[in-house]
Amino acid sequence: MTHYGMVIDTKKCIGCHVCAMACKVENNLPNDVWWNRILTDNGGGVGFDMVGGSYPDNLQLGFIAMGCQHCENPACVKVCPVGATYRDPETGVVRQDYDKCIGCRMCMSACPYTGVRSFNWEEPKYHMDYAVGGKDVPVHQKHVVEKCTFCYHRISKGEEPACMHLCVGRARYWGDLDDPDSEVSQLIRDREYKQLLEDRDTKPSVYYLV
Amino acid sequence: MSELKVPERGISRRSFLKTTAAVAGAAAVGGSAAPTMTALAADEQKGQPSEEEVVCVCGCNCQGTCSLVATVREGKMVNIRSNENIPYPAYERICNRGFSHANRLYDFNRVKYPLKRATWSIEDPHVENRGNDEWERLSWDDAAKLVADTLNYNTENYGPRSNLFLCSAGNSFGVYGGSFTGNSFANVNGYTTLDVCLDYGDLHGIGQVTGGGWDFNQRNMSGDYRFAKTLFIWDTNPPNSQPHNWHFCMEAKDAGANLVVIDPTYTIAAAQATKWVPIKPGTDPALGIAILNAIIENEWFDLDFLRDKTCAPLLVREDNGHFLRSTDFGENGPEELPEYPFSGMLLLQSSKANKVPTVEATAHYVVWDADSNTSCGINETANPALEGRYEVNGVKVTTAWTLLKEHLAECTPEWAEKITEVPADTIVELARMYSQDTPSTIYAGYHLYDNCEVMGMTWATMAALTGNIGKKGASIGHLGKDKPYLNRSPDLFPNGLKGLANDIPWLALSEILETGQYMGKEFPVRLLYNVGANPVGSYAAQRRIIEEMLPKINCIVTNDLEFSDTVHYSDIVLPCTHYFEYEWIQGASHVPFINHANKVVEPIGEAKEDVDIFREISKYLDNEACTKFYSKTNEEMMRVIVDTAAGEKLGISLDNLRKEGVIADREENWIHWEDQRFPTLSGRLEFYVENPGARINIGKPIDKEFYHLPTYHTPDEAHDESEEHKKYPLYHYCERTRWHMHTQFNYAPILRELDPEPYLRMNPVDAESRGIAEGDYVEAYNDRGHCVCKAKFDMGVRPGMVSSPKGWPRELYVAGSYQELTNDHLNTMHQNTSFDDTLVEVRKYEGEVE
Repeated sequence: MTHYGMVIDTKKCIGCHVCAMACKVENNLPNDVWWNRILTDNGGGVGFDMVGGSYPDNLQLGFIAMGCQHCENPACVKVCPVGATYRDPETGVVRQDYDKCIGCRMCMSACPYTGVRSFNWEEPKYHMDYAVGGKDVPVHQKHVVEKCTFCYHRISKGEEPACMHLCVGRARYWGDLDDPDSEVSQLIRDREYKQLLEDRDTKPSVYYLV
Repeated sequence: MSELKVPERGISRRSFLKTTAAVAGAAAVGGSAAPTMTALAADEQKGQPSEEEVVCVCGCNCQGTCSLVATVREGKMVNIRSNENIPYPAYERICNRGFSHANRLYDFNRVKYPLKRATWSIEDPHVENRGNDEWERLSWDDAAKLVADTLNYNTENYGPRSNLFLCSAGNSFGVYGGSFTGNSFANVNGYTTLDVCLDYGDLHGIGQVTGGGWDFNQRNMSGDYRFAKTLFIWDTNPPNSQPHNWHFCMEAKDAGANLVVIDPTYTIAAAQATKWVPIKPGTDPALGIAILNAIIENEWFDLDFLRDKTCAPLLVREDNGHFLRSTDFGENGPEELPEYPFSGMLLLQSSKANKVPTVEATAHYVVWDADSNTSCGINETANPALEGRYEVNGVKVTTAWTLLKEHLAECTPEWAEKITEVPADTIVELARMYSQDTPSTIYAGYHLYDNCEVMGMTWATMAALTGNIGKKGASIGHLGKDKPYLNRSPDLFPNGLKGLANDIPWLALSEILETGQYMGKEFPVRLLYNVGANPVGSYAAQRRIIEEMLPKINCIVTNDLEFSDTVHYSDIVLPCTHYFEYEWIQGASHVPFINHANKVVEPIGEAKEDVDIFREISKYLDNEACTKFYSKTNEEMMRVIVDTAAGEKLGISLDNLRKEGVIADREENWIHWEDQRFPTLSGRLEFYVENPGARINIGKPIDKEFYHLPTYHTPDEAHDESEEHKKYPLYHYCERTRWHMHTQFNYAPILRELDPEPYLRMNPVDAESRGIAEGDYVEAYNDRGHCVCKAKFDMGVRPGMVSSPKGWPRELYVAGSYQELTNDHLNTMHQNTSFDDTLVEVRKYEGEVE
């Protein structure tokens, strides 16, 4: 069995958005849809990309690259009335079957990781008048819930997800969590990490080194 | 192409903000991909559209010089990634802007056809209508003839030098292609070339000491930062401006290095550093000078290096301030010395400067032999005195080291604390780290204040005192490299070097236009031709440029790929290609490679590469030398540059570049000046500058006495005691965000989703005292101009400072532009634009905002 997972080193992430842009282009995401968002970790009070705290001794600026956590115990799967969202047994990837999705958005409300899913209320719109990205990327549909696929179309060909082709800050790692010798397994063995909303018992497949 | 409409005017702020999320690029791209493409992975699956992968290069000149792989499907670019097939994987790179190239290619803001402003003519230019976007479309033939006729008219009536060429790095910064083709065209026709006055200030100061580097040729290759034990990130925020380099710095940190960020602002770099040193803006040279003082006081200097590699033992004559040479005692007395930088044209730096003299060639320098207590030639003793005052043949002299020590004696950490607001004990600790936790590297920003030249001299002197230069893990200043295996002269200077005039600094142009005089002679200016340059958008004091300078110029021609601020104020606009639309070669000064750029897609509209634009114009110029130059094909031009005997030894040729894409031209962690001999006259680091010179001789005096040794002076206006400070108490600087690259990438809709409009970044302390809430529209203003935009709160901005993200065009502000605020003061020494040497006041904007 394979269990794909991701490890992101928050001490190295510079919030550059390379991974977010790679995702956006590869998956031909509609306007204003981002499956991989770079949240600013500044303690609140100020906005995106801004520094929080107080000058000069107590300042805070960090980043959390945030997409579907591909949970081992996904809250979304349990609530889907039609089986459109499911955990792929071969890869551990939480998938979304666009053809089955009825647009009820139960998965969106059940998922504790706000904002990782998007819903196409209208026919998707694009900046470009032709499709960009991978040629076997599923076509985006109206009234369908979407999210990060771990680039299933790429990993099924043996490629890494688009966000993993190059992290310019060398902060991202990808691999099989079931393989004890994989880089991701070693990293979470050797380094201190956190997972998002651990108390929800979702068992995410994304680890953040701290 | 008939469905493409000529844009009647650029997009307005209102329409842009409305349509950002909805606009479809006018993507009518004809033809299939070019035959020169390197197909790395053609798809053979049936029923799938065929794809090609093309090695290309981002030519935006952030100094990333990214080799990329574009995916092309049915003639259109659909994807991009970093090129993984390069000699050293540590240099694999791409940034968020790199992913927006398809957006830029098919951007609605592109210039697609040759255009002329309707009411412009050479007889009656109607300069008052500039900026009205009254465009009419021209055929290429008509446009080229019109430009040629205008150039010839000016040449016949006012002389060739009345045609000014401003060539900058805004599009395809290559050794073949893009901006420099403007220099070739100007030089073959004897026109004037302008100096951009951008980012040369501290380089000039460093160059005074090292003898080289105005051409960005200073630091070791970035892979080498990994070996530093102390890294000073000074005046720069690489995670935003050069994200490709940051992982090298973090690797040094992982290996236990001090990663120190010196910056008034709490940046991403500061957040990831081992130490952040907040400093009062513009005062950094005082910090550096006090570090020198602390190094001397604590005897943390490297005596062997001082003796053998620097001017420390050289004897400075009391009478003329020059080093004593045995030749001084000949019949003609002391020789007349050249001034650094040895040439007033950037493109000649590598041929005229950067020459390291041999030890034999410097035998005439005189020192005091400490053993025999007599004077002798520098090569005649292993033990020259480093300190003391002497008399040689009746000439009173002092060692350079004694002069420096005496000069810096008063510049204590306590002195600097009052200026910089950095605690004295922190300054001593920085001095200790830099000199003791070695090797040490200074990763410098450009210190865009009027005292930038002192900053540069200070950095170089820090290296000189501690030997932190020319070795593994130790270098200073800015990254670049010589490329001696390239044969660029025939391309850049088709008529040879004879008769070439210096570049004229942009900052000197205002006075030239005002007086009609330059260097004491009449100097009419008739035409300004911008190539890869956007002076209206990128240069300081924008309102003065628009209202006072441009109206005095009869004709403004611009090659650009998009409607920049300068295009809006031009008379003739020629559409040039994006760097994915033609084949070119990047010297890649910031990686140990030379990069080949294939053509990815066909040019949009009628865009031509710059070389072809000038070839079109040359057809109507009737200048024999010019016609001959452009009789070469583009490929022949490329071969002249890269098919050289020296290149062959490195495996570099056009054929190999086409095959490999990226070829290494040096070691991964290349060390600059590794033999620790330098391109000064003495071959040593000359922290005592015997004959300081202005960066370009513009006939204005500099205070040579002042510049012998690093001496602090305040910024021009950005200090608490300035006249301006009474009215405008806030220090304004232009930050480099990750969403723009100078004025490039402004319209890529994919970027604008996350970074939709300009703003002013403020600390709430300053906002609330002015009744400003987060998200309010505010007006920042000073005597030079104003801008209106949103206020954003950021606790990392030093109270008393505000910042504008660099790059936004005028039309996306509610009113004005941040570039109206910036300072265009001309410093006669460094002639660099001190953008951040700017004071403003900010008030809540009460007007309507659409």
